Amino acid sequence: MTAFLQVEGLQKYFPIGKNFLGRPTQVVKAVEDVSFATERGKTLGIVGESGCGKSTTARLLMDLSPPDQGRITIDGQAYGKGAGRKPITALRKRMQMVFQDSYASLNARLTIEESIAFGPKINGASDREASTKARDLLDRVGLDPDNFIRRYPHELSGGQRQRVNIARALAIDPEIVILDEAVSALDKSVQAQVLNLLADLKAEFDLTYLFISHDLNVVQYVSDDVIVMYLGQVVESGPAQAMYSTPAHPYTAALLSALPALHPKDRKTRAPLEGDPPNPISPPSGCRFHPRCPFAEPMCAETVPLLADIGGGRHVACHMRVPGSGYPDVRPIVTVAPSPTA
Amino acid sequence: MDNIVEVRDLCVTFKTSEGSVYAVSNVNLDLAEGKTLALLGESGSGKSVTMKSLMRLHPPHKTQITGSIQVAGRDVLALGNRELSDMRGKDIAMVFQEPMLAFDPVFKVGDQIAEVVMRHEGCSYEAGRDRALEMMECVHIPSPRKRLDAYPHEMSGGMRQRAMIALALACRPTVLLADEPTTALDATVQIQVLLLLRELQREFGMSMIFVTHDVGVAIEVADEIAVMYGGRIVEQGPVDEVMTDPWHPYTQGLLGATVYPNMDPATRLVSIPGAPPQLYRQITECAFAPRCPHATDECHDPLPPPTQTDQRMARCIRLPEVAGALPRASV
Amino acid sequence: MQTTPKSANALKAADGGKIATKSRGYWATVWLSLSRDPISIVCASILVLLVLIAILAPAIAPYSPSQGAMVDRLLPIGSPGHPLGTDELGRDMLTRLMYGGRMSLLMGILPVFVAFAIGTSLGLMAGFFGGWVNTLVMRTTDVFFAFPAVLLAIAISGALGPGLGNSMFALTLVFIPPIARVAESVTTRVRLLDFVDAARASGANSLTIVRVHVFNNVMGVVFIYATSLVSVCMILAAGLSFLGLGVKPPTAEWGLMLNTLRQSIYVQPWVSVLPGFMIFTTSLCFNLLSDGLRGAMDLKR
Repeated sequence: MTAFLQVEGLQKYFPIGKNFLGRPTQVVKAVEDVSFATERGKTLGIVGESGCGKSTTARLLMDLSPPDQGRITIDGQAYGKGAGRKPITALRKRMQMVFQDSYASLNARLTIEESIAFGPKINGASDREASTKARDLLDRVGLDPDNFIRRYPHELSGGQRQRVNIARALAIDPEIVILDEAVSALDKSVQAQVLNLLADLKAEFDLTYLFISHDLNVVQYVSDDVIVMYLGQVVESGPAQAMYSTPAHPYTAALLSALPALHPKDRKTRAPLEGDPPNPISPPSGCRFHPRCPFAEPMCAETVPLLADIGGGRHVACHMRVPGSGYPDVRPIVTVAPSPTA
Repeated sequence: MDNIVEVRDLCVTFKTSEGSVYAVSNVNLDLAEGKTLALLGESGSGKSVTMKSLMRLHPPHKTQITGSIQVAGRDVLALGNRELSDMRGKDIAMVFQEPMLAFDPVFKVGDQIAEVVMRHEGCSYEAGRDRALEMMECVHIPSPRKRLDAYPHEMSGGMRQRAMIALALACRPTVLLADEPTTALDATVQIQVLLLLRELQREFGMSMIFVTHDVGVAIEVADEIAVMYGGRIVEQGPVDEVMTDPWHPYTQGLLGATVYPNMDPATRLVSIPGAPPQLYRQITECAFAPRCPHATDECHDPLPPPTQTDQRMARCIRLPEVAGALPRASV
Repeated sequence: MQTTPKSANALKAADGGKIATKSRGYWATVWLSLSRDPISIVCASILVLLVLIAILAPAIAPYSPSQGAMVDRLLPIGSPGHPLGTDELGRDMLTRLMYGGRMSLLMGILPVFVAFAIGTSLGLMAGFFGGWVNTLVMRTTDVFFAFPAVLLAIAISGALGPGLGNSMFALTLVFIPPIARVAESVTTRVRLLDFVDAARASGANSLTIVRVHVFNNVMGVVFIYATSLVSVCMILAAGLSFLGLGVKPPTAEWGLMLNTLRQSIYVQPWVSVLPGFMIFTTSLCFNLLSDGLRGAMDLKR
């Protein structure tokens, strides 16, 4: 029994710097052995800091850069390199993406209608059908078609442009929508509008979301399940509420306690982690988090921890948290999950 | 209590090819010594423009500034170019969002800090370097002696931001302006920088004006908070009061639209319909009225003076009915 | 008392009310902002006037361009019957400047236009596909860059022999590499924008993406650059004619006229510089218009 969307062993190394023979001198291990799964109609959140590989993962799924390895299964149909699998490019009919920069992701020279109708047209719809679709979708995302369809992107506000981008993504009837920091650049008041819209559209079109963001609060609010990435690897995955209330991986715990306070009396007195995330060009050995980890033991620098099942649908890649390792419960992670303002 | 910064009736207008942009209107600010004021607002609310006016950083021929700005007893708008350069970096310094843009990429970080010290204090290069080292230690940059000779691109994002703080504080300014200094940083680094700023403020006894769009960041650092919308301050007061009992409908909406931890995914966010106003005309009425759930006809008349108590201020004519009408049911 | 909550329609109105004016197309916006720039308007008017005069020369010119009377040679400006004087063979200068404009404008515009078409295609290809296509195209253009433009034009023109066709061919070759290089750098920048990824993600093939999404974003920038090259091309064309590599006498062409009149510069200096003045004015107008266009096409967010 497999999940609706299943990603297994996704991997991408970017070569950087070439010697005079054209061989890469260094590689960035942008995404390494990333696996996750989600059910139809659910939202899977992907969180992590810059350079953790969350956006690269999205681009790999859309084949915007070809993955080195990996298998993607939707509804039993496998995509990827290998016998009996369709090319990843074929996924594009079932999966669409909304980008962070609402301005850069629209062609400034095309009208809103042309931008939305582009997808249906190249997938075989007639001009008339594509145009009807564009009007219909504009209406669904809360923009008046008569007013907006002839406009150009620079005449719209950021929130309106992001609505157009959502309409554009929905135009070829995808089953899965990847939202790559789709609300991060919006002002808070507008962000709330778009989040509400996304929730409505999900129910209306029976969509499955991959919600990529650095904003932990938003991810918790929208997601059923969450995966946490650090330097190209998944360090923890599981149901959102359980993970947020009792984070298993020290990095997840640190991320949560780094959230700013909600009331001046709860102000932080010390930072949960020191230093910056390391450079993904030469990541630390063993567990990549060990140089910043307050719980690291010598073995963490030597052996790469694997994602281990800790029950309740949760997985964590930490030597200290594996059941039966003798470590859990010995040093409980103090969670500082903030409570809402009273 | 002495105010180190006093802004009265500040208006900033930009002249563009498409007409005037009324970026800031009738802003009043007071900042007491050793305190932190957060200017909270969305993009285009005038928060950065207000702050840059304190250093007169706007291009002079395209900008019209009226009102009065007093910083450390000096009338900033009356200063000559020479006095202005003397003041910038010495009495009042600034930390930017993007440290890569604040540093010159072709010079060593230590030399850039030393240069500022040499210019303002007229000391030798050696003394400047000594101060630079001292500052790098102050901002907790690991192995500071080595980092003095690093170029900006050789540092990580968080370390560059620390180095920029070191640069800004090198001449011991009395007022530090911070323009979204943590927005470009990762979550785990952001909290480090916020804590650092708080620590340094205590240590140096300086006052700070902190521009941010993030409610949480404002709560972490500020004593006072001023919420801006459409170029005006719509609400002002001690941070704990404003954040727990917002008076102005915009502040209420902003807090309602913010996603909090452990929110029930089934509850809808309280969104503010519409988009912030364009400032191509002088808005004399309440700029928030078109989006306000409490707006009545009289809200479209010119604004009366703000409602003022000892500590708090809000610009809303329907204040008695509106205040306390918190949209967040859970609170 | 509270007003009723805003309905969805009110939201649309509030959202949409931001832009009260009706939407204009991209080129309409460019045109509007260009028409507000007095320098561009003056330059464009002068150029339109020059083109009209050149086209209508046979109908409006007072004399024949190739016939003159030796007794009337080198008359000064303002002579009766010859408002701009006559040249060293007694031909009317006004007539010859009108006819000369036909050749000079043709030699200034056509090579750039052809080079624009070829160079943009090459640059688009190189920029969009990258890899070895890019290496091939861009390294070939680099070879051409090794020579100064003037020298290259003279060398090609000289090798092919004098004549209008050959010199235009030479000029075209000279302008392909710089245009290709600009097109390539713009394409490379546009290719990395999100909307190209979005188009790829919706399943479009490379050709469609270049046609619909990349071309119109690249063309504007390259077009501005090309207009600025027209003035260079005119001067180069005049130079070729001056050296005897372009059109042959007795055809009227500004560069050639400048050459033949140069011996008379001490006799009638003002008449002698007239062709030079025309070349100067025309190329200046093209340059200023190109600057104006650059400003107008730069849409703000």
